[in-house]
Amino acid sequence: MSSEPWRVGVLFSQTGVTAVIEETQLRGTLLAIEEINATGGVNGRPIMPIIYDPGSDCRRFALLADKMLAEDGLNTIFGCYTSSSRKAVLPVVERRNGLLWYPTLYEGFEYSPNIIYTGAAPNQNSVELVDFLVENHGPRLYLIGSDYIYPRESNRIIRELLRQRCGKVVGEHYLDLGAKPSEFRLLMRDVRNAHPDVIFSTVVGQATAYLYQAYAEAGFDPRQMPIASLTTSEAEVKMMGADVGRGHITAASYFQSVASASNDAFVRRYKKRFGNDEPTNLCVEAAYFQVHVFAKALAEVNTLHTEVLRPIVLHCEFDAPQGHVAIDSESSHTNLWTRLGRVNEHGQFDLIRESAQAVMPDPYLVSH
Amino acid sequence: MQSAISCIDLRDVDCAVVYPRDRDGELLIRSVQRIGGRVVNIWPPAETLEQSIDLLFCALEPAALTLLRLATTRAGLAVVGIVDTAKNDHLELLKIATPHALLARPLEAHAVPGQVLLALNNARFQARQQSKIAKLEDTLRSYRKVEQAKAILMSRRKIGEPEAYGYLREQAMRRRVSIGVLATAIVDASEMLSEEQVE
Repeated sequence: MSSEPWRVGVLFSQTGVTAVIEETQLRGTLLAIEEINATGGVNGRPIMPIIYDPGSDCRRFALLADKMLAEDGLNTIFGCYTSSSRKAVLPVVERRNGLLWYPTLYEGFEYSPNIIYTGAAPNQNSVELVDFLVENHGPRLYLIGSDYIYPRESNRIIRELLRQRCGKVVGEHYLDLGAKPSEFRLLMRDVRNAHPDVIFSTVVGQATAYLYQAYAEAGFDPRQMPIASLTTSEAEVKMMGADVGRGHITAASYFQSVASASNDAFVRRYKKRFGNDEPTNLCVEAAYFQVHVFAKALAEVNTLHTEVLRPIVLHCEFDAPQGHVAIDSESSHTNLWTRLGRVNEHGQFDLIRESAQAVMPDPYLVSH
Repeated sequence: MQSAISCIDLRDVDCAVVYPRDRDGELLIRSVQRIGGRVVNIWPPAETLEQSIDLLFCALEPAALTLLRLATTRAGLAVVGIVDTAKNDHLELLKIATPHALLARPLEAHAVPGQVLLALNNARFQARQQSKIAKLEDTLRSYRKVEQAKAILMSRRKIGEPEAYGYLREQAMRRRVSIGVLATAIVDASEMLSEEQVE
């Protein structure tokens, strides 16, 4: 029996505008790999990560993915945060028949036989969030996003959901991924004039902190007009400071505050490995559990070949920190939990709403 | 680095060589056997092909065109064309046959593995893309069915759009079927019931 390691690719940015959140995904990936290796690996063989830094640059994502599959002899890649990087890697994994595990919520409307999507599709976060906002704060939304695929596509869906609920978009602005604090301060004047009930943010990366800080400096009150988001996690709240984030709302499959024995254990191991002041978040958790799902499927088939491994993956279930999850064989996406949380004074999320069970993914919003 | 030959594993590949059993035909058969594949030789060209064949070597000749056309319709079947560049019509034949890889006469044994690799890769990639397209088309169809089912529910039960969607979602979850499957069942049942009323 071979004791050679299972070599897998890991592709998260450690530099560039989205490095802060992508590094947490890298940590989630490594934690899971270390756990698996500590208990003897998969069928007696350890998992060995081959890690590259694409530097938040989509072209580098595509080039490095191609290098992994074509030159390094890898089949499986864990990686990508932004939708633009996933879209850059997609044709590469399809052409070379690799398997990309994508642990990030995104705007849906995609299917690739060479991607396993373990983050939320819009029906697993946006729908519940829009319902809640319209019911509790009002129907007038002001959309602020970073300028790339995900915010624009996500807002297209938000607009549609709002229309069904007789809501209205009263402003829509996109700022560069590298936008400066001053640009957000300027934008707050327009927000004040538009009088929205809610600011809906699809700002990602470093700029997230600037948005919330500009909001706080403008003297707005989250009880009157909260910022709602699908991407502002514990990691971003830590960047901006808990006092700045407090009172704002995020929809996610996972918060560090999820009360369960398996999550307690996960959070404890994560902090022990990466430091007590490092919070977990939705992206860490997806990055973490998807490696375990991978290992479970790999143990069964004992090969990394995509055409053998994927059919098994498509029927995998796992007790993740967020709760029981399952890969949906129809869509290659994942049954995930829907949760709404509000930031508290400790930079953690207090639970507002929670689904009774994992929700089936509907990436094309066929049923909405 | 792996050696060129070990990149190709033909142990599970069934191969047909549609070629006269001359020097070139013999060379082809031996080459495939050397990389582990099972081979049948067919000549003159038949008009059908066994379902189990994954890799087809075929002479690009007018007599083989029916077979070559059939081959292009079978997803996942890798086709290596064998062309006689001395003949004037070889480009015309290539256009019609669209093989995944090409060998030119006179054949050389060392050229065969590379073309086999190319043909298998191209054919498999095309098959994966085709199945992806089929899946996406399926999604489009279920979109339409869901819209129809929703309209039926709204008029029969006198409910609004969100309620109709909610009902579909809930029933699909409960029955553990996709929304598309459930919607199709509702549309079919509704059509059947209204036909009965007409009778």
